[in-house]
Amino acid sequence: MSSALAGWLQAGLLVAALAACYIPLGNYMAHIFTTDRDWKIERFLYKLVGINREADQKWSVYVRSILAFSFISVLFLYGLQRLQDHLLLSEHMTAVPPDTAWNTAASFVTNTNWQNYAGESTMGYLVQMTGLTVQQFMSAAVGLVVAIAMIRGFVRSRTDKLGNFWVDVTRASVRLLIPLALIGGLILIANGAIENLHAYTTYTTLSGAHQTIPGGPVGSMESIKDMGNNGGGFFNTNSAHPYENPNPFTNWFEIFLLLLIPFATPRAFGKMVKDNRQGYALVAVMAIIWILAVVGISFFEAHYNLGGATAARLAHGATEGVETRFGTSGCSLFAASTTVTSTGAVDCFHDSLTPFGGGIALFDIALGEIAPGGIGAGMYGILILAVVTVFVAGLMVGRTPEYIGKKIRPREMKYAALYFLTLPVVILTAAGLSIGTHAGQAAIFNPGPHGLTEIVYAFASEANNNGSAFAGLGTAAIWYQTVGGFVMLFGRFMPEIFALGLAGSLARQQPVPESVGTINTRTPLFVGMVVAVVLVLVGLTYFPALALGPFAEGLH
Amino acid sequence: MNINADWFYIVMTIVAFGVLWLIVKGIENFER
Repeated sequence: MSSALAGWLQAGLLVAALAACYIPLGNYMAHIFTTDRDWKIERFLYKLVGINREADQKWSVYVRSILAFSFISVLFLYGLQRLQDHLLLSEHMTAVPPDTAWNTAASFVTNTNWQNYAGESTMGYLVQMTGLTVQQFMSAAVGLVVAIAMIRGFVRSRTDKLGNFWVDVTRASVRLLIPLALIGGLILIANGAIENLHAYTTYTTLSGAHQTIPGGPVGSMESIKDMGNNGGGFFNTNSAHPYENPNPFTNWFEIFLLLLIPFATPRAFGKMVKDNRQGYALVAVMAIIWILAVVGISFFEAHYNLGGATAARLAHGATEGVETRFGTSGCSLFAASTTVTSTGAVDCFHDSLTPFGGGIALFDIALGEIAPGGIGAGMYGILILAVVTVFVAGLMVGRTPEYIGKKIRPREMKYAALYFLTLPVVILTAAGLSIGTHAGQAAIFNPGPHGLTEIVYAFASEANNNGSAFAGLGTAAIWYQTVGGFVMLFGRFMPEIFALGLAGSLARQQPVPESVGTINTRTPLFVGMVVAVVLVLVGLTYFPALALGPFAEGLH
Repeated sequence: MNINADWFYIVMTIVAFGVLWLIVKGIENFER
C-alpha cells in the first residue's frame, strides 16, 4: 500500500469515527451541564471545598473565579517544580530553573503545554503526575466550561447569571475528562505505551556505549495530553517517542483523541440551544477548515519532489524530521490536526515541514484554533466568528443582525472585536520586540525568512495555547521564557474575558423571535460565509508575516 | 534555590493576573 493511500485511509477512518461519536458524546456533554442532579463524589467535593452549588455567577464573577483558580495553579506548579529535588519520585532531578519553571507553569495552566525543557531529563515523576498531568485535566476543564458559559449566554435571557464555575469545572473533570482519559489511557497502554514508576536504567550496548532507558507514568499522561488538547509530552520528542506513541494504530488513535471533544462540542451547543441544525452548521465550518488543512499539508509534504529533489522523490515526500514509523502521511495528518486544535503534540518535526506545509501549520494556529479548536476554546472562538459573520451579512443585505434569537448590537460587536484584536496584538507585538531587541535576536539560529517564521510561529503557538514549536529558536533564553509566559497568560485569559463579557451581554437580552428578516444560520450559505470570514480575517491580519516568512522561503 | 529569581517570577505572576483583573474591572465600569 502506498504511503498516500494509507494516509487517506487513516483520514477517512478518522472522519467515520468522529462522526459516530458526534451525537452520543455531544448529547452527553449537554446533559452534564444541564442536569440538576449531582453525583455523590461531586457533592462530597463541594462540601470539602465549601462550594455553594446553587449560587449562579454573573459573567464577571465567573471570570474572576477562573482567574483566581489559575493564579493559584500557576504558583502551585511553580513551587512544585522549584522544590522537586526535595520531593519523592524526583528521579534525582535537580530543581527546575526559575525561568523554565515559570514558563512551564504558565504554559500548563493555560492549556498551552509549550515545553522549554526535555521531560525525561528535567521533570521527576511526582511533578509530571501531580503537577503537569493535573493541569492537563484542569486547564482543559476550564476551557470547556468557558464555552458552556458562552452557550448559556444564548440560552438564557433577562438574567446576568451564566452558571457556577466551580460546579461546571467539577462536572467537566469528574463526568467527562477523567472517564474518557481512563479509557484512552488503557487503550494506549494496551498498545504499548509504558506506565510504570521504574527508576531510569542504564544499559551497556553491544558497541560498549552506555544508554539510559527512562520509565514513567507515560500512558496516563498521554491520554489527557491529546484528549484535553494539551500537547505536553512526557518525553522531549513528544508523540514521536515510541514509549508515548508506539505504533501506527496509536498514532491514529492519538489524532482521534485530540479531535474527539472539540468536534462533539457543536452538538452539545445545538442540544443546549434546542436547535441541532445550528450545531451541524458550526461543525461543518470546522470540518471544512480541518480538511483543507489536512489536504494542504499532505499535498506539500508528499509532492516535495516537484522541484526535482531526488532524495525526496525516492522517499515519497519530504521525510526530513519525519518519524519513519508513521511516514509523511501520518506526519501530515497529525501536524494538521494538532495545529487546528490547540493541542501542539507532534509526531514529526514541524521545523522540517516544507515551507508551504509549515506555512499552513502556522496559518492553522493563527486561525485562533477554531477548526475544531482547543477543548472549549474552539467552540467559543467559532461562536464569536458566527456573531461577526451575522453582523457582516446583516450590513451587506440590510437585515437585522441576530444569532440564536439574540440581537447583535454595537455592545456585542465591541466584545467580538476586542476578542479578535487581542491575539494579533499579543503575537505581533511580542514577535516585533523579539526581532527588534538584542535579547530576542541572540536566540535566532536561522536568519532570513525561516528565522522570521520560527519567531512568529513561537508566539502564535503560545498565544493560541497550541504549544507546538518550530524549533531552531533558542526559546530557553530568559527573554523568550519570560515574554512567552506573559504571551501565554494574556493569550489565554484575555479572549476568555471578552468571550464571557459577550455571553453576559447576550444573557441579559430578551430573546428575539425569528422573522423573515432573520438570516438563516443553518444553511450551507451561512457555513460558506463563516469559512470566508475566518479566512479573510486571519489572512489579512497575518498576511505580511506569512509573506515575509514561509511564502518568501517557499518561493525562493 | 535562587530566591531573588523566585520573587521576580512570583511578582510577574501577580502583575499578569493583576492586569487581567483590572481588565475585568474596567469592563464592569464601562458596562455601568
